[in-house]
Amino acid sequence: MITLQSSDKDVFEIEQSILIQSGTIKNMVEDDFTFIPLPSVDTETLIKIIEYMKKHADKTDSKEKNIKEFDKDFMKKTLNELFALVFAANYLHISSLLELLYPSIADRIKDKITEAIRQIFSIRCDFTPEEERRIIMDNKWAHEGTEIEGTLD
Amino acid sequence: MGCCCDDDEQLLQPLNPPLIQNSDHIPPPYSTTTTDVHGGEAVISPMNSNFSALICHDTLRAILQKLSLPDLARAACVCRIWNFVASDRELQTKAFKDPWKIKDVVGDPSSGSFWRDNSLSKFAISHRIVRGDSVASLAVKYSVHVMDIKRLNNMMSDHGIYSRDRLLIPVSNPDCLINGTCYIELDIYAKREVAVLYLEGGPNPKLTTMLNRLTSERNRKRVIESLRRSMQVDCETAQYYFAASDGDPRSAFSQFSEDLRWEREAGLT
Repeated sequence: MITLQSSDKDVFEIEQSILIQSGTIKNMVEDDFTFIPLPSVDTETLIKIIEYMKKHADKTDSKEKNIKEFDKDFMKKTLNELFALVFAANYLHISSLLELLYPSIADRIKDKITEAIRQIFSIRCDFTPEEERRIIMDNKWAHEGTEIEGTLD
Repeated sequence: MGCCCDDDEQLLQPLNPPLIQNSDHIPPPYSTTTTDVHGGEAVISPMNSNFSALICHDTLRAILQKLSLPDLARAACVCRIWNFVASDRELQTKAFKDPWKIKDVVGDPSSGSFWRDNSLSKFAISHRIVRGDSVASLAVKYSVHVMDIKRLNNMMSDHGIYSRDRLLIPVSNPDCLINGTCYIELDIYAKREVAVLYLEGGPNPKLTTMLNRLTSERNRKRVIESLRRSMQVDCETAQYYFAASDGDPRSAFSQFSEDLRWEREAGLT
């Protein structure tokens, strides 16, 4: 059993066999660590990560369909939560989770106009007015057309 | 692309924390904050963004690489970081090829803006003209309009077909692009860069070099003519200086001026 500690100082005891899906944890276990502090991961995110790893630890054929269903539901989270997961999965080197997260986030960008993307992702435009004009001109063709969704998700 | 770490460090300076210490003093990175929809001062900058993972170029690239070309273009307008990552050549060529399931695009366009638009009009089939071909017969064969063939090849009349080795045919059925290899060529008749699909084999290397030679021959003649006019000499003299300077008109002219001065000083003219 390995003990994980979140940045909020909560501890979780999990079987080693489940945790080795994380490359980072696997390395530490191989170096004989049994207590692993994770200062970059808060409790809420860590709970989700553990949930993911538990589900994916048992990869028998009969569970394939279940796992797919679980993954689909797992991605139904707010953008905040998804990014927290990206950050943690990156740090913990859980590539299967990352491969799941990237397209889900990309889906939120798909078919949105630039301003909508900025609002969804809380990004401030840091171009000067001239730069912005030039960039929009460069990509003018992408801003035309009726398939663009102007509303927020 | 090199490691994104250097950029990250610069960008992370204002935030400064190692997350291990001082966690009480920093707002939790994933909390929501209000945004002012009218774009006022309350809008969060990328630095303070909830999504600190976005600062990492590799993460952003992994997300953007799933996008189609139009989405990528709109993403490039969001902010500087997004613009930088979305303009990555590899990302763009992949998004260029994917919707048509093209296997490979060979050649280097003259500017990156070539990649930004992958509508069907960017592509064309190369048809080598044989005896008996006419614009009408080709239009039937490839299921396109006569006007479209003529427009693409800048043909004034139907008869100009025989002075050419090949015609570019607009692509009507995108299925022919699947798993194909396209060659980026600057077609001298279409007067623009086109991604060319060869239905039989690849581009004829003899044809391409011949076309290249034609254009460079034409260019050479043009340069020599302008040299001749500015030096006010005959054709042979201009050709001599052009050859002597290895095709560089500026050095040809200065060499000529040198010689002229020498002749004057030597009392020959």
